[in-house]
Amino acid sequence: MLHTLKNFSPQETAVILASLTRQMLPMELTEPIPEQSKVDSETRERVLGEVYQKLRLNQDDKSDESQARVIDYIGKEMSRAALAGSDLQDVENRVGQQGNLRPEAYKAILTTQDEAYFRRYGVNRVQIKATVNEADDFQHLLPGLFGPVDNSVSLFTKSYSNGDDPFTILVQAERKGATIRVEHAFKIYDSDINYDHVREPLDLLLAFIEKYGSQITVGNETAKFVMYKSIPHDVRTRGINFFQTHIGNDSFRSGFHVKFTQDTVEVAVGYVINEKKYLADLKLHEELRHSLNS
Amino acid sequence: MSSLLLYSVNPYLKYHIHQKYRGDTHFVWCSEYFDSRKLGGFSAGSLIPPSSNPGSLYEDLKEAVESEDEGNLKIIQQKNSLKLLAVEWEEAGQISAAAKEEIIISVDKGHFKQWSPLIYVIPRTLVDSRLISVPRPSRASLGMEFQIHDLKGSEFDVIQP
Repeated sequence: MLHTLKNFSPQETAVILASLTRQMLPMELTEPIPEQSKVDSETRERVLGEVYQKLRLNQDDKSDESQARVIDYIGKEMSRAALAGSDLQDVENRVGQQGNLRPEAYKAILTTQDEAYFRRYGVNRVQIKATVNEADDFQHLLPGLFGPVDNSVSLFTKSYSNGDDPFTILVQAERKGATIRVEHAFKIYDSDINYDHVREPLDLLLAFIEKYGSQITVGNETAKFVMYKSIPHDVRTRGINFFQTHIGNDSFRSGFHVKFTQDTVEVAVGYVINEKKYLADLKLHEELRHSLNS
Repeated sequence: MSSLLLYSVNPYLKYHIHQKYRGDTHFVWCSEYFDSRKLGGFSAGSLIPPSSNPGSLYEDLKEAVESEDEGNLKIIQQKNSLKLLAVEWEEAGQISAAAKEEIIISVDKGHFKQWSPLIYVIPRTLVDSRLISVPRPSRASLGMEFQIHDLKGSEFDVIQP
């Protein structure tokens, strides 16, 4: 709290601090000032003097470090004032839904049932939580970028060196506000897939599907992977499932993330993993590890 | 002869905010040259200083994002430029209180990747009549700099190398 601003309302305080920030930034980072936002220079100077005093900095110190500390301090006070009357959880939920929060700001939810299932793939709760909240990389599949579907899918990856047999945990989750509900977690050994085109989490998922995925038919399209596909409602009403697998009797893990609307089936992402093939490869890695340890 | 293209470098979050909350209308500083450092000494473009040179801005932001250094001056400046604009826009009735809240939380609690630099490539013919030459006292050097106050999302390509 800045004493020089104690007689101003939070709204007025935010505007004064915005004006002071503008004064401290390079011209190229600002835009023309709206008429209503003009603040007298005397007030700005008094506030700036108090900030320097609080930070125990000399006002003649124009080093990058000093400037960074002063602008950062003013920015935090500006946020505090601008959000003084806001329901912060509600705002975080809205921003989280847009995919604009950092991974650690999301609350990860993993059901006991799913946790037990992912153990079959050699993935435990600690690894899943670490993959979401301390991700090496993540990708929010944003409707605005990929299509009109409002399902919100996020991918998180975290790599483990694991001696001579490195692997990556890939988590697929549904984003709802500031909450992440884990839908799938796969352990992917580097040596099992082709990393040539893997730059981001979606590329890793695609490489994984290329190796272990099976052909599926969604609407009139047959492929190993579909993303942001909208299937007209009449396909369902004619009694045809919105997707079919071509995997025979092998067990599979369905990676479909869909939403049913009145007129369509919206498929955000769709794939199936041939578990027999995937589990067989995981077992080889386990056997290799045991033989090396014995 | 005027160049056919104009270049501007901005972080992803700034692009997103103008797209979402400003009707996909963008305020940009731009230059006829992507990288003034690679021009001959007798070229007018070589007079553009690093602080206004798209190539330098791109490299500075990219380096700051890769280092994920919360104390980096460039990142702190970018963060606070967006917050001050959100406060001023709301004060002027140009955005809602909810939009202001979302912009501030996106800045304060957003992920570092959102500061990744984007290159705007703007065909000059589409904006020539709205191109504002920045007067000498407001620009960092003798090199020409321009502003476009109302660049539409459909009037430029965005490149994220």
